[in-house]
Amino acid sequence: MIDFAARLRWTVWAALGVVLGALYGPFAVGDSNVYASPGLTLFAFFTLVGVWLVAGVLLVAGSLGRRSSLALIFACAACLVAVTVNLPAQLQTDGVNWGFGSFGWFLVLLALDRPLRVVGPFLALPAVLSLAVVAASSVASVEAVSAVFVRALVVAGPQLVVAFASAQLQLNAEKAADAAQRQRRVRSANSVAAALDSDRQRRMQVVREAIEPVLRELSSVGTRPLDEDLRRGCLVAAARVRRLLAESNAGDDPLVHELSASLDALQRRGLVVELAVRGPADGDIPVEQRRGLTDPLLDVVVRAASRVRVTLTRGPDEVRLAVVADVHDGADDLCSVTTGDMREGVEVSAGHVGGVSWLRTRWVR
Amino acid sequence: MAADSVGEVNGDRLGVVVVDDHPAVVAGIRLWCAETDRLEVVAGGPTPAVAWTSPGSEAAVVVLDLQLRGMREPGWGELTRLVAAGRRVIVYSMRDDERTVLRSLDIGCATYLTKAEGEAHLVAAVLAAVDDQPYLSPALAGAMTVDRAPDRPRLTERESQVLLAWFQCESKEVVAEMCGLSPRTVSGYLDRVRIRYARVGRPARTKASLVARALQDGLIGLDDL
Repeated sequence: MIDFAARLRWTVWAALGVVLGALYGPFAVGDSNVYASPGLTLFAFFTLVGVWLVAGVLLVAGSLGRRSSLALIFACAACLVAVTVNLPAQLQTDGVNWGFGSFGWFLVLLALDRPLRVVGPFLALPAVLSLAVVAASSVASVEAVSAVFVRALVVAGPQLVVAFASAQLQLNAEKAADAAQRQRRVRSANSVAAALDSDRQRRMQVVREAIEPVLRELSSVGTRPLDEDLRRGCLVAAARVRRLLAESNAGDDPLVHELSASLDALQRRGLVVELAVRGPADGDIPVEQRRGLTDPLLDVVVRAASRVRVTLTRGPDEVRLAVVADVHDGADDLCSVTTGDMREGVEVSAGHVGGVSWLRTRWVR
Repeated sequence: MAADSVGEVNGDRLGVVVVDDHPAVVAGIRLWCAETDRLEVVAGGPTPAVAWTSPGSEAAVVVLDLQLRGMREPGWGELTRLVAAGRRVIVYSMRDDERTVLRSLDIGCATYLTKAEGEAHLVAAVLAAVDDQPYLSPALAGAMTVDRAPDRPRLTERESQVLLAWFQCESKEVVAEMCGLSPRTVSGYLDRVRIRYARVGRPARTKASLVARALQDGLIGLDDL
């Protein structure tokens, strides 16, 4: 629509140029003796030519706004009044009344983006002025009035058609733009909903993987007291769920945020948990790698007897996490389960010496 | 201020002055030092003035809290003045960010300890300082591990591995197990790293003493200089 409006304006502007130069120019300049005030009407004509030129410049610059359009329309109306009142009644419908034929086209050019109900009544302004001059003269007759009406119909008819067509096209374009906007919104909402659902499903899957074995074990326990493995399983599951919850509201340092959330669940057991972080905050570690880095550590932390040290070092090439804990039970299981594992490109290594277990994860970017 | 002439109190014991605005910290360090047969806290207080007036001014080692009450920024000026006066300063701070740690090291502190590192590291660091021997705390190791400054010393791959492991586990036995080395070799690597940093830092008496002692102990050779 924007292209169409611009093209239509340029067409009207070019047509006005031809009308002013070839049709009304000879009348305005050559027949100046018919006007009551030849100088004033000549000035008015050239003012109208000036308006045409200024409109062209503003169109090129793309700055034909509402205020400038209104100012130019007032200038045109003043020219129309000047030429109409300076002509005798019998020449109101003649070619020498260049304002009658040109004002409407200026209105179409300058108010193309306005609704037809606003522009339409002003298209009748030349006819109203001419009728006033005829009515005030001594030659007022039915024929003279009819002549004004006939000329008004001939002149304003095409102008009304162009203004109507423009208004309709603009209306259709606005409707189409609204429809397209609604479709885009619907598509965006759908894709956001799909992404949220997928993320929810993914989280649910991870939560399920963490919790299901524990629940299965719990269902088979009956009235027996919980054994140590099951207790650890519960703790790991709780820590993973806390970390998953933390994934949804992480700030600019999600790994530390999730790590703290995981450790928080375990700290409540009364463990002394020390977290030391070195290197700048890093928001670019993908969630899979963050899980790959943190998950194996939980197996060590839940086995700790009293003290855990967790360290995180981040550099431009790699991220390393390590946990060192005093582990008395299950240290051998830990080493056999985790050493040499690779998960999401994260290397895992572990060991045990003198009552201290350690586990390290490393992700190379 | 040589360790064998200045700072001695009560015969063989060496004086330590503690600048910390938490009385509990001063009391804790006093107790830890008393439990050794070589150290004694001779003065302690909440302002650096305690290190400049007797008996604190004669102490062999200054344990300095970098951020005393009312300070918005770490006390870089105080640390610089103490180092420039030839004092052996151990920074003992709550702050553990690598910028603070590395800047303290660059100014010329003997070592940097976080308050979480506690008794074992503090006493060992003070003893190392009075003997002009390097001491590299895990907090310092962590900061060196992520050091990306253009003028940082170049470490060998093995030194980097040991440094990282030391930061991660705070136990030389565990580091030895992790890296397949003996605990003594681990200590050697850590000392060498500390000396490398001492050599690239700003000139300071503490650093000069560290390097001289490292030469005497054969930790580095003349070729390394």
